Amino acid sequence: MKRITIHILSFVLFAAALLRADEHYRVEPVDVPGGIVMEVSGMDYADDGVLYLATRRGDVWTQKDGAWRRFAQGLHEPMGLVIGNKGEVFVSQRPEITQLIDEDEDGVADLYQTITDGFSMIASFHQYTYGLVQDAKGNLWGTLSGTGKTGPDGRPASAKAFALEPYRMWSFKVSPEGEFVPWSSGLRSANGIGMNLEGDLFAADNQGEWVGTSMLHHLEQGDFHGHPEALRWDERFKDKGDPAKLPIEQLEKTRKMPAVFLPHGELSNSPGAPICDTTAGKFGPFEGQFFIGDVVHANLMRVALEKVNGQYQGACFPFIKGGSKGAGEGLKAGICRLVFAPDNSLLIGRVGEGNWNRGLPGTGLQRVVYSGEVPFEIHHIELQKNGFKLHFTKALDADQMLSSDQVALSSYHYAYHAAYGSPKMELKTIAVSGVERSADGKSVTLDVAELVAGKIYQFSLKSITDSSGKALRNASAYYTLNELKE
Amino acid sequence: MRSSIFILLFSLLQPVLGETQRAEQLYISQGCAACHQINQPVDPNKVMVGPPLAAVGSHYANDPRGLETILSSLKMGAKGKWGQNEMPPQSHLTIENAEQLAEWILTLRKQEEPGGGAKSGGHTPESAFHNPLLSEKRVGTVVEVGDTPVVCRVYLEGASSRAIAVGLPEKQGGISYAFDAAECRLLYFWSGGFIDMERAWTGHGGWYARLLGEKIYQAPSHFPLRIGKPNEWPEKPELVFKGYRIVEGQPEFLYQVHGQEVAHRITYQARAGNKSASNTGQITHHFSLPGVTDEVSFLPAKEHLHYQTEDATWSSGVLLVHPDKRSGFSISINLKP
Repeated sequence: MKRITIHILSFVLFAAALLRADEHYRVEPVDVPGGIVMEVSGMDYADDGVLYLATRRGDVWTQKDGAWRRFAQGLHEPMGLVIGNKGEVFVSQRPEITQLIDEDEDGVADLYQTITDGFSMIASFHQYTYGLVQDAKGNLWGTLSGTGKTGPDGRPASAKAFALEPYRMWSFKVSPEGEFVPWSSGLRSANGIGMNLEGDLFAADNQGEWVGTSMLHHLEQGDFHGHPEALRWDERFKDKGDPAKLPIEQLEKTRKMPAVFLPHGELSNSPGAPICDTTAGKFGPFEGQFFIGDVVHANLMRVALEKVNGQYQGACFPFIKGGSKGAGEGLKAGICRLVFAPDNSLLIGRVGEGNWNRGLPGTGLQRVVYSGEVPFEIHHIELQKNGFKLHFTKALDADQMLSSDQVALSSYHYAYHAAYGSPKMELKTIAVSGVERSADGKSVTLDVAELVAGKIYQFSLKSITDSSGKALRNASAYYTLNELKE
Repeated sequence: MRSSIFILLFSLLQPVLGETQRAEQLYISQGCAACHQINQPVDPNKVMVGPPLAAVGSHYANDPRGLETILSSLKMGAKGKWGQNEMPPQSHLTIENAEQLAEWILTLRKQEEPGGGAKSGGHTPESAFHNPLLSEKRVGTVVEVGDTPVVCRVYLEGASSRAIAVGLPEKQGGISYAFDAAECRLLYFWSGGFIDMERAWTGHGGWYARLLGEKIYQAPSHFPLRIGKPNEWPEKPELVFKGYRIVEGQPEFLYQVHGQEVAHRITYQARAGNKSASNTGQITHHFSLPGVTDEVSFLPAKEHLHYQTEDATWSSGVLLVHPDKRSGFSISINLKP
């Protein structure tokens, strides 16, 4: 009896008082079962509102109306889970992509069906199988991280990653027939994958060697995203020796630039999977944009892309910062997976320790709830021939005079080199020569002294208020300029 | 009347006090007291090598990994969590004693903390790891099999990277085995405990599970089934792993050999009169090959093993499956007493 009471106490942990809220977005705790190490590595909702949640310890949990149940167990460090178009449960685990089937419909999977194991894997701490999303045609998508050198005791021997086995450091497609198709290459450790409203695929690579800062890539077939190790498995570079020794000019020419650089330290350190806002405005005015969390920083970022000369590029913005005042007060680190819940709140899955943590604790769940009151934010940035057009979520104060003093603009880039990470290179202030407000007051066009392809433009806005006198909720932005507007 | 209530109360409390007392005895007998006091030093001038255990208990009280962390420190040693003195691995502790000490430490609270102390009840770590949501027991990173089998994909020694560990409950032999998903075959059996996932779950993870027992059987290194006549057998069979189905708790491995579907179950029967964990039982392979029409053979190990089956007969050194048994047959291996 005593034990039962203890169990009830342990597992019926009611929500603590709401964490500090702002009037737009509120961060709330979400209960997980007591005594379970809940390192969240994959999450999705089924049509009936059941949450499926995978953990690094190999369990898949279901949750509905606060009741938790284990759906599957014993998976090999799954790092992705998606509910398919027909309600199937797919997971990406180290050795394979697996469908979990509950044949007798008792709420527990009975059949662990291998969909594909058409890629190599060895014992290495760094060999993750990240995923998963499914497109409208039923293809599954994910990424394979590079191999980390492991010492005889299993502990990491080096931070460098390799791709001596096919198809490490590649993104991949799995057809509905289960065929494994290597898709794009050169991803060091892109922890998760996301798809926008157009069905285009994106993954955020983690800073490291050849990756100057973390970066969001658009994945198209045959793309090379920058880490040369992966070129071992590219037909074009077959029999050309150690790809890391290829001339840098050749690598630069082959490389596709990321859609957005995520500034290391300021916004990001180890980004998780991007999630596209599919709530049609029910999570705020950001439909179609990406949200990305960070495993090390207690941060949520927002990414708004545009297409210039047919290529994605755009800006990233802070969205909620842990430890800051207001909405971010309660946001915690370890953010690995995000999913929109049926009630249009954003569920945050925290993977916590293990490979992911630098002394910050952090497993379990939180969620972000939108109050319905539109925040005053830079909605997106549109490149102009001679500058940028900043679109806001609300009209600016009509009486306010605007001057170039209110915009601090700088440019820089990150080095593309074999070393681990990069400082900001050639950082300099860029003069803003003109500021013009649109007739509806919802956008501002900036003319700038110079625009150079291959640079990141960092914006910091001051004293800009909406018609109610309210300041911008987040006043900084980072635009990645790969293509100039013709 | 009063005395009988007292006796009743005393007998209810007895098991709790018993566990605490046993742990306190271990604290003395296993040498913990040489470096750790239970509470804050009474004499502030007395310098202790390690932290007071009550401080450790308070620190990890609400951490779901607390037990695991303490067990890991006992097992592997620790430095830097509490000052710079190093605690060497406490390798003299048995798993049971280490568990009992760690669970006890987690009930301790610093004295200034109201509501602390061993008898306060509430969310104890023991309840956390006898979790009703799990069928197995997780003691730190050690996985112990409960009433139903545990099927766990993890790196295992002597396997390809695609390995599966299976732990069977007492009623199914109380034993463990390893299956290789790349080679579609049994690898070995071990008796004793199941596995310690420490190197798979903690730190960077991604490493081998440790077998908590002794290997009692090593399967031959070849894939044992052959379909067709001996002169048609390819040098290396073409295998495709298709997953596994949980049937009455046990895995049935699914694969294709040259396109032929195979469902393969592996069971263990302890020899009557012997303890289940001994090495004298019988391993049985149950094969199902729906729709097969060609000859089916089972290739034995090179070394002499005692095979037993009613579904096949010896023919040129292999077990040739009877034509009417091809779609479903069993072959047992009797381990030497």
